[in-house]
Formats: sequence, C-alpha cells, structure tokens
Amino acid sequence: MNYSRPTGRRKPVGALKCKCAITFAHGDLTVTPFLRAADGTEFPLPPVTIAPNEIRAVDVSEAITKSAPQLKGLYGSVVFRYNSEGMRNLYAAVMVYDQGHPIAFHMDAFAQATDYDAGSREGTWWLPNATAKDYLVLTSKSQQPLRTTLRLFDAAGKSSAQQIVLQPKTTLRNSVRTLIQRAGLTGAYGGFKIDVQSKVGSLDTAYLLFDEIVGFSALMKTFDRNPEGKIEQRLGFPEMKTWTTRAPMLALTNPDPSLGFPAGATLQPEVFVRNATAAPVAVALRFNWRSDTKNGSSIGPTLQLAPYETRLVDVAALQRSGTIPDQANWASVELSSSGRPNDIMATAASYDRTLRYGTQTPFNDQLTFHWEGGEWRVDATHNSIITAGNGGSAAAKTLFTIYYDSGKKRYDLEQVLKPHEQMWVDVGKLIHDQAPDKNGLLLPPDLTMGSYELQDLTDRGVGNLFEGKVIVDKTYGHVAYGCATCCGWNASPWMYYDPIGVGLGATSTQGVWDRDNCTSQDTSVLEYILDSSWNTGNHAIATASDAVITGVAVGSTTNSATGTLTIGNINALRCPQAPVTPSGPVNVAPYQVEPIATASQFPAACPSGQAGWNRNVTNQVQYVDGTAYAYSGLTVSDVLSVSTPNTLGISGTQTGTTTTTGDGSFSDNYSVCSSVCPSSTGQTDALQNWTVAAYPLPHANVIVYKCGSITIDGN
Amino acid sequence: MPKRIGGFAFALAVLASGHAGAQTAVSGTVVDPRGSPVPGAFVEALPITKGGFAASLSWKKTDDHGKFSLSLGEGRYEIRAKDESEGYPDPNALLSVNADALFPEISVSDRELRGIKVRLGPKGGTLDGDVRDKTTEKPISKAKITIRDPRNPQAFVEVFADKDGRFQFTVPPKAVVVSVTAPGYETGYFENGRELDLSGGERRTITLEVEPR
Repeated sequence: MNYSRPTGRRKPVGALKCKCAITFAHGDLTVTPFLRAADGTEFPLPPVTIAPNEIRAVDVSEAITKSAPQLKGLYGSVVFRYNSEGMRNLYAAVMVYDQGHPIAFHMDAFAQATDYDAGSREGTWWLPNATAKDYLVLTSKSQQPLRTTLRLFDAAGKSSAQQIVLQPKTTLRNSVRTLIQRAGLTGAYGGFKIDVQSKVGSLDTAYLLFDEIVGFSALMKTFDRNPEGKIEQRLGFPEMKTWTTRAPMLALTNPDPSLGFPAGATLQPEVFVRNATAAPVAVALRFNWRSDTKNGSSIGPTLQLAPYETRLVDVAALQRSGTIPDQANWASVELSSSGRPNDIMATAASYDRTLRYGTQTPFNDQLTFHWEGGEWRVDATHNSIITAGNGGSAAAKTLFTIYYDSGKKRYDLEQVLKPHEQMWVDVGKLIHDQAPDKNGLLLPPDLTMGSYELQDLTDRGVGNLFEGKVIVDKTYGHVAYGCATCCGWNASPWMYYDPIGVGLGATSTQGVWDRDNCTSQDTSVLEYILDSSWNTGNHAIATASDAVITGVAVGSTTNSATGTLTIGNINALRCPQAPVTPSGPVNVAPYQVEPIATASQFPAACPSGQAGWNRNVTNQVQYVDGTAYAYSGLTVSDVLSVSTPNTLGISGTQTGTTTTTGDGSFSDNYSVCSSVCPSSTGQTDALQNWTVAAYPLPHANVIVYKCGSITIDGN
Repeated sequence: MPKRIGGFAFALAVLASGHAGAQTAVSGTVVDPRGSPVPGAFVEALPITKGGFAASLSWKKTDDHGKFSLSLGEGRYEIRAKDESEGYPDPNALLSVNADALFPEISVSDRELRGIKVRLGPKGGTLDGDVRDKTTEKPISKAKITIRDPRNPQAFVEVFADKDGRFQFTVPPKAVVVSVTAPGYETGYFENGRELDLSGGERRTITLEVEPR
C-alpha cells in the first residue's frame, strides 16, 4: 500500500515539521515512511508501529539530518507503505510548519486511485497580494511517464495550455504567478485544470501560497474530476438529482474568539466558485451560520457561471446586506448544482485585510456514516475546533469520540443533528471546562493531543455526516484546517448464515454483515438492506421476505438481497455509495440429529480380547433451533468417521439406516469395542454425519468414545 | 471474510471412515433356542477388527419369517440378534452374555452369503418399574437404575427413568441386583438388595423408593 503526498514548500525540507500516521485497525500497524525526492529517488525512514487510534509523528527534519542529509534544501513527496487488511486502516497527513512564522499546511495522504482512468485535477489559483508566492505541486505515483495538459484560466475563463510530462514518481512545482504572467493572463484569481488521458489517479496535486512578509499562508484544495462521473455515484441514491458540496467551517466577518485573533480583527470571507466545464452552469448557495448563541440558515445567491468562469462570492457583503447575520462567527457553505460531480468546484477563505489572520475551509461532497480524524492539539498556544454536520434530509444521532493516551482512552459526545445542523466541538474548551462526556468521564486537564472519530448512529449504512477541523496557532494567529478520512464498508457484504438452513415449512431469519474498512470491525448492516429486495433463486424450494427465509420443499437454492452502502475498500479518493447484493445458499431441510433421551448404557460384550461401552439413546431429527423435525417415515442413515488421535485404536465402523416416528425420533445404539479397554483412560473422537430423506444434514455430531462412556455432542 | 456455516464449525480431522465401497449381501434367519424362526427380531453385524470398532444405528429387523438381509463391506463380523419385546435381551450387554446363544462369525468378501443362522439364547424377562420419592410418593424423573450381576460386578446395565419416573429393561435369565440413584436422594435397593431372577419371558413390575438426603 502506498500513500503519498507532495511537500512542495520553498523552505529547505530540513526546516519543516512533518507529522503523520494514525491507525484505526484493531491491531498494531507497522508503517514505513519513505522520503521521495523530486526525481523519484526514495529514502526509507525507520518503520513506525502504531497502536489502534494512536497518533505517531515522524519529524522529517530530524529524519533527513540522520538518514538523508543530501535532501536538505530540496523538496519531494512522502510515501507511507504498510501491509494491512484495509487501505483505510491508516490515516496519514503531512503537517508542514515554518517554525517561528504563521505559516503551516496540513496535507492528507491518499492512495493511488484507480476508480477511473481519464480525468482531471481541478483548482483555483489566488494571488491575494503582490508579494504572495505560490506553488502548484504535481506528483506522479505512476511507474510510467504521466502525460498531462495544464490549462490556466483567468476569472472569465480565458485560458492558456501547456503539456507537462511527469516522469515516474517525480514531483514538479511551478509558480502559477509566473505561469500566468507568461501566458498573458491577468487578475487575482482564476482556475486551473490538469487533464490526464490515462491513469489520472496516479496524479497528486497541491496548490499552496504564502507570504513571509505579511505572515500569510493558504492551502487551496484541489479536486479530482471524472468527466463521466454521476451524481448517484457520489451522493447515494438514484433518485437524487442535485449534487451538493459543503465547506463546513467558513469563518465569518466577526471571528470566533476561540480563534485567538486580536481584538478588532475583521475577516473578509470569500468563496471562489469555479465552473470546470465548457458549458454554462447554475450554482445555488446556502449558508448555515452560527454564533455563540444562535444558529440558522440563509439562502445565498444563485450564480450563472459561464464556461470555465471563476466567480468570487463576497460573503462579507452578504453579511453587510443582512443575508447572513452580522454577529454570526461561522458558516457551513452548501453549493448545489444539477451537473456532474465536481463540474463545479469551490474554495473558501477568510482573511483580514493584512492577510495576517485568517483561515480556510475546504469543500467536500462526501457524506458518510463514519469519519476517522487525524490529530488535534490543545496547549498554551494551540486549540482545535472540530465540527460534524448533517448533510442529509432527516435528523442524525451523531457520536463524536476523542481518543487519547495512545488511543487507549476515549471521550464520547452524542448529539442529534437536524438537517443542515452542525455539532461544534471546541476541544480546548472541553478540557479547560472539564465538561463531562455522555458517560460522565472527563478529559485530563493536561491533555494536549489525540485523535477523533465521528459516527452517524442513525444511518450506519450510508450516513449523512460531513466534517471539518481547524487547529488554531494562537501565537501566530494562524489557523490550519485538516481533514478526516472517510470510512466505508467492504463492497461485498455477506450473508450471516452461509449457507442458511431452514426447515420444511419453517422459517429462519437471515442476517447481512460487512466490515468497516477503517476499523476492520464486522457489523450487521441488515437494516440498510431493502426489506423488499429479499428473494430466493427458486420459490418452489424457499421464499424470502424481509430477511425471513421460509422452506417450501426439501432442496437447495439461493437467497439474495440488495441495498446501498458507503463503500471504503476501493482505491478512490472518496467513499462512494454503491448498490450491494449479498447472496448465499439456502438449504431447506432439517439441520441436525441430537439425542433427546438415554434409555440405557452398559459395559459392552465385545469380541474376544476387547472390551468397551454401549449406549442406547432416542435420537431426534431437528431444525437448526433444536425443535423437532416432526415427520414420520423419514429414512435416516449415518456415517462414522474416526478422528485423530485415535487412542482406542478403532479400525472399523459399522452404521445403518432406520426410519423416524411421528415426532422425528428414532432409537439408536452407540457402541465401541477396543483392544486397549477396559484399562485405557484415553479416548477416540468421531464425526457422525447424517443423511435424512437423502439430504445430508449440515451438522455432524461429535462422538467421544471412552472405555467406560460414550458422549454425543458433549452429552 | 468470516462466514457462519449454519452456526457451527467442523474442526475434526478424519482418519478413517466406515465400511464404504463395495457391499456384499448377507442373509439368514434368526431362530429361538428351539430352532423356530423369530419374526420381528433385530440383527446386527459387529465388525471384528484387530484394534476395535465403533458402531451406531446398526440393528435391522427380521421379516415375518425371521429372515434378515444385511449389506456388509469386506471383513469379519459377528452376527448378533435380540428380541427384547419377547424377552431375548440385548446381547451387546456384558450382563447378557449367554453361552447358549449362537452368534456366528462370518468373513465377507465379494461373494454373497446366504443361510446364516443366528440362534437366540434363552429368554430372560421384562422388568418394568417406576421410581418414587419415599416421602411424597412423587415420581422421580432423573433416576438411574442399575441392574448388576452380583457374581460379576463388572457386568451391569444402567437404565434411565423417563419423565414420569418409569423404566423398562429386558434382563437376562440370571439373578441380578437392582439399585437406584437420583440427584438429591440416597441410593435405594430393590427389596434391600434381594436378588431378582426373571426368565421365560416373565414380566415383573416393581416400584423403587428412594429417600431424600
């Protein structure tokens, strides 16, 4: 498994801090990070073993000094390699800090995506002042040269294109400011598109900008676009006609005091909305705002975007006009269109006029039932604010969990979120105020770091949660956002009983289970399978209704059902919703033969030189739940298979046939003779396989033979 | 990916299976001590092997003429018979061993064997009974009745009372001692340990009383 992430800062790499890796798997995960130079040369770092929900940091500066001093002053990417059952067992991010300056970037690592071949990476460029520097970083994860076309657009959609070939595993960085000047484009913002005709999932991109003079930095999220993408692949249900993407934490004009900005600081919230297509597109905006005491929802403007146009939405102006209340501190921004996913893309940023103080919030269309978050920090100079929002159309009970003490301890908050509502967690406040969690537990007052998790308890099959996190650096007034990784189910849920046995005329309840690709936990997903979708392959043998299988005639067929789940075990940047169809065999027949009474037992009269035991019982043909398969005249036969170790030295077996009485019972005798009896204290086990009415039963009895006893299935 | 197989898992390694493969027909007649055919008797073939054997579900009923037919794999067998309803006890019990019975030993190959004669030993008797609480007279359902040869204590039979405290067993034509145990009760003896001797198909009904501990 390769996770990679470009680290394209201008500063010498040795001056950067890189933190990475958190694991959600049940067991420890050993991850080997590799520094990959711009030319693709790899330098391994010592492996890191991470416990479940633990965060481990690798200081790249130190690692370079120790292991690869030749990389000082250079740039490249980081690769995380590990062996694990699920790709999403690991969350990794590169956190780049310019020590002593209000400049920081958090970049998540992604595996190579293979869910589509031809597509593009899309973004917006922004040059907020004359001195800000910027880098558009391209990294190839491919083993083959990656042929790309970089197109730059001004705000109106006028463009310039150039071909770029990325050699295998190389990293390239370009200044958009320089490229724009060369292309004759103008303006302070616009868009870019990097087209890739094949293996687009091998391309990773980042666009970052900074100004060390004014103390400004921003990471403008880039997006993947599948030109054939469909709304139902990204947002779930075929009936959905509108694609929505959300930015969860847009800081509004009046900044939240918890951001630690100086008194009087006023932000200019802006949203860059870009049409990534050659056709006009309409986009609707909605702002779900909140202050300390109130929250609400405001409908924003509907934009008509020309082909490739980038439009700046002045959110501060919407506050001034009263569309969004002046006193509101935050808003989640919803952007909806009827086109394909990521035909529209957007980035949001809020900075004061000097650019010294501010933050951004990335847009994301992902909704899921489970998010695993990275690191949060709370200390004298940092705070973390985390949010979970309900992007669905019904209330969602939401569980927010903080993990700390190397993932061994947890702190849980639960809240029911209405549609569009957000849960807002100021981690520093929870610690400072010693607020109890839902179980009355407190976070330690000296706690400084941990990880987090979000779960939709109402819909754990698909889920409707979106998330966001910012880490506030109070010293420098800088706020960096970080993302969580979406979790999903394996694409192949399974029938719990496989095969399921059901009696003639009786019913058995089936289950459907699946594995969370982050935690590797197996869980029932039955409630996300459509009740009406259950069916069998042959209604003359069995029928199915809402997970209840009814036996109609002795025989075998199949049972199946369909549902929709959020899928996590695919090589994609997100966790798409997809239809699933679990299936398995059905056997309509009795399940087992078990003794219901012992009539007698005694030392056996054995052939010369042998001794042994005899037991006469009443056996009964039964369903899987132990009730009688009450049919008379059924022909019953058995076969004994002697197992190892065979301490009694049994070398022959003899079995026969009989018929059942009205309650499915029949008399049976079990006997054993051995040349090592009666003195031996050992035993020989055997499997007794049954055939009833020519149908082999799923359950075999375990017979334990001793010189002085015979037990059947432990009795 | 873990899957449930009907809720159970099988884990034992198989060493040897029963007499599979070619089966040879073996037929004959069950007769009483006077040589008369016994309809409704039960016949079985016990494998004679060097180390020993295990068997189950192995009795086959004779027809109206006392005739039986078995399908057996290659090997040596002892053919045994019983008719407990008529007082011929289960020959598999050490308690019931009787030298007057003729249980022939046969060798089965690929050739059909006919005319096998199996002679029952002398009739014993049917012992019916019930077990009661001596104080309350209520039946005791989980009682174990032991029928033992007082001259050979290794030869005994344990019979289990049903839910109504009743039991039944065909005893061989010899003197036996009958005792009873049940959870929470002292061990009880039929008529303080007096020997009981049933023969000729006699039927005897007894009551065993036990005292609470």
